[in-house]
Amino acid sequence: MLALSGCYSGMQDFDPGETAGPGAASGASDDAPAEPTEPTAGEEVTCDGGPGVSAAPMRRLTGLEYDNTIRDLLHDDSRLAEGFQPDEEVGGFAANSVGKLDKSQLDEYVAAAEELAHSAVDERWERLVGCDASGPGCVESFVEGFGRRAFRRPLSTTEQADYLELYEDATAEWGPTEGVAMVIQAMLLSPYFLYHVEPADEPGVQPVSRFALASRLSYFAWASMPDDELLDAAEAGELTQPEQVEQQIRRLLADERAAATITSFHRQWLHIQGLPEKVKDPTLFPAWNESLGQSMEQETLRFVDQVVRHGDGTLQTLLTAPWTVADATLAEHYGVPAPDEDWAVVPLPADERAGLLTHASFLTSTAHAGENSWAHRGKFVREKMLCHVLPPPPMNVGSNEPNDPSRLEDPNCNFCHLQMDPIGIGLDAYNPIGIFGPEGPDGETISTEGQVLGVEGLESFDGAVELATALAKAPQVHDCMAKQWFRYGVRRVDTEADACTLEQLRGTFAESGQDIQELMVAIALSTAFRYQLNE
Amino acid sequence: MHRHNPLSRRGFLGGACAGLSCLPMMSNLIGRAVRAADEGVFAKRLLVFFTPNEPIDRDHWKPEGSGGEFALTSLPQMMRGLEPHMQDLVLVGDLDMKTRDKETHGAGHVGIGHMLTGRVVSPYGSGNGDFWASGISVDQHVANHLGVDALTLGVIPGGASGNSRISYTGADEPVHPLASPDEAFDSLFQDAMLPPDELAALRARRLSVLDRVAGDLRSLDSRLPSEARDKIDVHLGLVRDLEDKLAQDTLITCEPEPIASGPNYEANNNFPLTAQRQIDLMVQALACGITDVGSLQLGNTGAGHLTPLWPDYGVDINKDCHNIAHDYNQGAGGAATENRVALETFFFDMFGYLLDRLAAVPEGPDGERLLDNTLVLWCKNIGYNHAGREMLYMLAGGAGGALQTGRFVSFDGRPHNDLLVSVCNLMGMDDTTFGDPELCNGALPL
Repeated sequence: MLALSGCYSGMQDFDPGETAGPGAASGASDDAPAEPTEPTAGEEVTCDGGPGVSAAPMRRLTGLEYDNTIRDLLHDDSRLAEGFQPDEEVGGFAANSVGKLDKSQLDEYVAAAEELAHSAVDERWERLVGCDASGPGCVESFVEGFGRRAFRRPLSTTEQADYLELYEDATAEWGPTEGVAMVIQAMLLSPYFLYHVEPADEPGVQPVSRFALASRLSYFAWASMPDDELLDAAEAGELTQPEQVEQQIRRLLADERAAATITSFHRQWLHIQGLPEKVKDPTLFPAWNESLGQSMEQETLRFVDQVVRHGDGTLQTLLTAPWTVADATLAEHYGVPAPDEDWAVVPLPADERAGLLTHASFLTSTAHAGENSWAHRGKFVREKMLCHVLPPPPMNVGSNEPNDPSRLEDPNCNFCHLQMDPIGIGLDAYNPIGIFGPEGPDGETISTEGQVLGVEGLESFDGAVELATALAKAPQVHDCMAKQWFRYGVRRVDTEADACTLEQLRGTFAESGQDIQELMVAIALSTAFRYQLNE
Repeated sequence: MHRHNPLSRRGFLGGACAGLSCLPMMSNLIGRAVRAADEGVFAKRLLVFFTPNEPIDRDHWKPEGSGGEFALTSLPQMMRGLEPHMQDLVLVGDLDMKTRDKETHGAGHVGIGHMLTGRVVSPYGSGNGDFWASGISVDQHVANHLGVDALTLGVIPGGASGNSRISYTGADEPVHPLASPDEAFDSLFQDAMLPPDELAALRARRLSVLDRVAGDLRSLDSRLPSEARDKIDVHLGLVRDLEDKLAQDTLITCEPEPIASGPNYEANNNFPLTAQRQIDLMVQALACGITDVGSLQLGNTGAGHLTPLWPDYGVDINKDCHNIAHDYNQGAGGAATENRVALETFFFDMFGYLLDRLAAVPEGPDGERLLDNTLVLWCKNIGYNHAGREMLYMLAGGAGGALQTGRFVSFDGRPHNDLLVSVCNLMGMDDTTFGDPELCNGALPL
């Protein structure tokens, strides 16, 4: 039980609105039976009526999805979306599901489509079109094939005719090359390209349409469009049975493109986007600069990819590894010998470093310009590793110095700060750019005795290594990671209707020994992932 | 949002110039904003200027003088950068942000979503910034009335969340500011630099493409749930606006001064430079008739992501802007006050820079200035100690003769919605209420 439940009263996980209670999915589909439901081990949740499904708002492609899709569709890795307006986040992950499009975003799409379409016809005509536009059937087959990949489903007869008409009109005026470019341009501006379109023809809980499911799978595993094999499977009706879905998700996860999802999840979960732009006091931390920040970010992304796709794939290793993937700059930062290659696995002192919580990226991004932030570091553990919800600071309180013990006494503050600061105190041996130093400026030993109040086994700990080791073993952390990955996978905050799905995910994650890829497979197989709730 | 007088190439000379050296200075903008159709008549402009946190407290922002209304004879210390423009200002004191009393999303900075809309926000998550405003903001409302696209510029505004957005075309319709002055310049002026035949062809091609896109948007609509249909409707509206704009024979009648690329406009160290360049760009856009409505957003609600290590601009503090504000609120005095005043002085200096630039563009035969034809709304999203009480707002510029300046006026306890009505009225509109009607008493007697 939490010692300070006052902080949480009435602050359960946010429910964004429309939900179906457990049981909504019951008997929903003839051709795609719901997951067999295990008897639940949970105390409050009963899943006898079958798992539920929540309504999922329509999303626009995130910047990462746009760039990866363009890479796979046009063989163009110019990554123009890195200059787009930032993504809107829901539940800590880019979702673009609430706010509507604005003019600047449309302008960005228009400019990007123009640029991409022209470089496509100028530089990659053979690969993309592969025939003489004036030849018989050339453009027809281009529109059909490219359209299927751009819209992630076959074009309707009407659409095929409409896009050919655009081609004909454009060609009459500006020639066939421009005609093809304008077809590409229009498709890149079409809502069928820019949004995750999931038609809702029938009310109630329905299986996600086969092409929409193919997209759900590929954007989850790759942050990109389906490949031909996946589209073919969808077209052939081979995504209806769980074992077919499992075969596909495992195939996708084995592909190099899965690195995008592994790194994107962790970058967002750790909230290290924008790390190189972080401000540090140059007089206190002369070593800090943008390039060091980029190295730190690279380290973490390479490390998580190494663990999840090339290592034992477990949460334990992510949280406790006494090694990392470093370049010479970071090796020096960590006080270990430089690797032989640009980037390589290097061992770290096991009494100083243990997994992600001791990465320079995390420690730097959760510190102020001149000093550490107990609250930021503790808040991460509390919210992202334990899935506790801390309310925003009260409306009119003043705060004080970044790390002020009086916040732990003041009843206006300590509701929440007792949840955060004693965790952050345990990480105080790492300075605001993540350098380990057990002694303060006057040679005094820095106290790193911390507490994670209310979490069994973590009531007291000394230093980051103990903290990380205990968190890696804590069932609450395992369950929270299942929830975080679920939110990432469906790009919305879980609701009551997802209780049974989450129960199953927790079970699978535990049985697999906290294997991240097994968790991802289970998410792809879950009812929440394969069904939709229509109004 | 149909534009009546957008871009045109007529009279435009800049196409051949590749570098900065051959381009005219701002003073060459003289008279360029005269509308071709209304010779000698200058458009009235609205410009919103936003800076983070509160203007300290009443002791710091109240100018010397007695009573509820008086002529300005001096300005508070932190506003010394505004001294040359004292007679261009109206300080509007002691308003309340009454929307905060109705707000249920419990975050100290939620007022940024109330500031220009006069409504409580619409949350989409439990986090501090997980909200969008629930209605249109005054800048967009005025832009709709005038038939122009508002220009929304930001200076390191931060990610796409409620804490970082001030302008809205409607509920859940945040307007994302252009944050890169060089790229924003290109998007405003680049097409106009093409030779006329190329520009005409480009527009024709875009129209063909957008016509097809509009067809897809319309076909999609019927197959979607209502929340998705709403998104597609807004999207289709934007596409139609763009089509209308491309279909018009439009004109631009000035010689724009390009904004240099090179500096990292997202870097904390370059914040003051970026702010100045965005101000330069905004003033050009207003002077050239690119638009008549704009907003400039420096940082965001609390600006915890900005650390004012800007010694060349008179402020050098290694705490972030938000902590500086809180330190003062928690314990005024000593370094806390010094830092707080230094930070706010910096932001008022930036406002002074804006007024300088607006005053430097002549408009009219008798020494009138762009500033005289503009209504500038200086605003923040909170009052002292992050509350919504005793708030300071400022109006600047002559609003085309509608506003009598050089004054302080207090409206103790009136809702800030009333000021938003006044803004509409000063812009020549006859609105009697703005935002949440329950929180609005009508225009202030300015």
